[in-house]
Amino acid sequence: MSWVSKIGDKRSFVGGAVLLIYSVSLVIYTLGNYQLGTLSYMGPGMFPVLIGGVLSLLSIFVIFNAIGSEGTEFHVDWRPLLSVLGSVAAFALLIEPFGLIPSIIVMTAISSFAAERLGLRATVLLAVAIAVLTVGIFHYGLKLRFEIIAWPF
Amino acid sequence: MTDLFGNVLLGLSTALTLTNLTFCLVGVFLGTLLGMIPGIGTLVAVSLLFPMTYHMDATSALVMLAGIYYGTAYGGSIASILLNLPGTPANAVACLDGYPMSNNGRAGVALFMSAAGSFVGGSFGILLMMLFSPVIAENALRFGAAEFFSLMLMGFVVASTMSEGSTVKGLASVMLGVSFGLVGTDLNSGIWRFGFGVLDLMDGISLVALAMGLFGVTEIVFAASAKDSGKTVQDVSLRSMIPTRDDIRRSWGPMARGSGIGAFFGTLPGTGGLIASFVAYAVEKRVAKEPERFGKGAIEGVVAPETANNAADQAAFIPTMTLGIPGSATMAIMLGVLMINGITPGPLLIKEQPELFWGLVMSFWVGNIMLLLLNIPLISLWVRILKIPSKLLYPAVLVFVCIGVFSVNYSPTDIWLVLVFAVLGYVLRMLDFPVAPLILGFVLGPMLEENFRRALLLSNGNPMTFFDRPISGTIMVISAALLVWSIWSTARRRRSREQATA
Repeated sequence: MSWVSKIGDKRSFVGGAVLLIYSVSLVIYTLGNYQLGTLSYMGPGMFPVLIGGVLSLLSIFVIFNAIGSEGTEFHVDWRPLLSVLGSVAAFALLIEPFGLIPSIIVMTAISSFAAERLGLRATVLLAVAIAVLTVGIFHYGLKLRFEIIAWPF
Repeated sequence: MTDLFGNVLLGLSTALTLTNLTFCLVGVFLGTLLGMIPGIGTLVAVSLLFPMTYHMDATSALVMLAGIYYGTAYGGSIASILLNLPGTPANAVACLDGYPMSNNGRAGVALFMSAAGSFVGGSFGILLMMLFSPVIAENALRFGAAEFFSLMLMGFVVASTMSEGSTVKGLASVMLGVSFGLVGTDLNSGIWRFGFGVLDLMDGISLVALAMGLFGVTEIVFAASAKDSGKTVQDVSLRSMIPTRDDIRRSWGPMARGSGIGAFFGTLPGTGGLIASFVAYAVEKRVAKEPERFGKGAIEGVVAPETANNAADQAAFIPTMTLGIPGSATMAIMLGVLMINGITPGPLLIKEQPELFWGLVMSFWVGNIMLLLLNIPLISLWVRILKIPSKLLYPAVLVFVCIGVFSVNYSPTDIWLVLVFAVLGYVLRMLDFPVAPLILGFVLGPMLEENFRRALLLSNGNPMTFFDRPISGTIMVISAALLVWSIWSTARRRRSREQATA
């Protein structure tokens, strides 16, 4: 694959390619599902097709630009990424069946891995502090109707 | 003039209610706090607190969010001066001379003068807003759909020109945002577009989830990846904050120039505090009698950028409130607050909602005075907070994000949407695309489509209407010239670099 090595700015190249696929699918999906109408009486499909068209032109431009220019490397730092995203997913899963306090504790535990490790004691203290603070602000302060703690079984 | 006086009274009677005073205080306090934490910028701070505004009326919501917004500019300079870490990007220039000042034992003076400069700059921006907003709105009443369409296009072009990275990528990001704005019910035909059978998408993608995912969550991933600086924060006593006569004498000029520069860049779409602070610093260095003092703790180098970024932050409200066209992603969120409350932003806003407009303006005065008090007598409080390791704050911010989003509809779907946009935000940064323009496109997208359709309906489908009408035509030409210039200058820069390496 010698042509791959010629691409200077790989990040932008991939970005442009992804956007091109996205915008072309946007146009195809719109044409297949919504009416275009005329310029003076536009249907629901006209504007999306135009936006998809402009976006695909822009992505082609990005792709061509990327070939000639120099780019930078990107290094994925997995630990903060997975722990932050994981903690948000945990909240989404737990909030309805278990309520606020258990969700907060699990979330704090997972997200505490994001930066340099916190000790167990610090994590527990932090979780308690955040739980007290948020229950105070949202439940008692703003009077939002959260389940504080629930037991689904 | 009597008009203005009446409006000021009306504004004060709104701004000085206990509720609005409280929300203003909460806003500026949280703004300072979040602004101080490196990695959490204005946009993150504003989107973080955005869900809470669903539970308030429009005026209080705007007062609070605006307080957070300009509060971050005050707080950001504290971290710049004491830690050499800009709290928000707009405070980065303040590091250049602020941190050397603090190494020379003059941190107190730097903090005092930056707060004073911020107040002067902010005040100048508010004055401009009071004097010119009604005039601009009055004139904008003559704007038709074509004018609004071209103004929005110009906003997109300027925002993409000014965003980090290439203009084309910025524009692509804007368009991606516009395409996300397509989801939901089409107002003209009543057809539900791009729903893919997900009922929660009927009203479109939630701005809260989008902003929180793209900024709140993704920024924390990056902030957590950065190593703790391990720097120690020195204590600042009130006595050490008193500036010398020389400091004060040197600061008048930078404050005046900073106010002007800031106000100019603030009203331009897409620029704002970051550019204003850089330009103000460069201007001071150029006019200084001893430019070699800069970078070694020159007071002018702290005062000018801090004045400019606050002036810009306040002036940015002018196009947002008078034309309904936000110049930045943060302003787009402010506009979102209005729309959630069923208020149509645009030139009629000042006439139809005078309490909201003048109340907001007067709350700016209240907020800036509060910030002055928070930043000078209470500085030791902030210094103590700055000593908390930031790794303790990330989980707290994340919990806040989730609870905030959940409280809007009590639906876990919104949290999953946050997750989707967090992944998207991460991928976009990985692929080296700017993210802030996306929000601008997302918020303006539906308005862009509406005005586009209306303009073409009125002109019987003739697209030349955008160029034939004098105001719209001028705006289009300016936008096109800007676009060509920025693409040409990027290409030229690249060519000269290639020649340099060859």
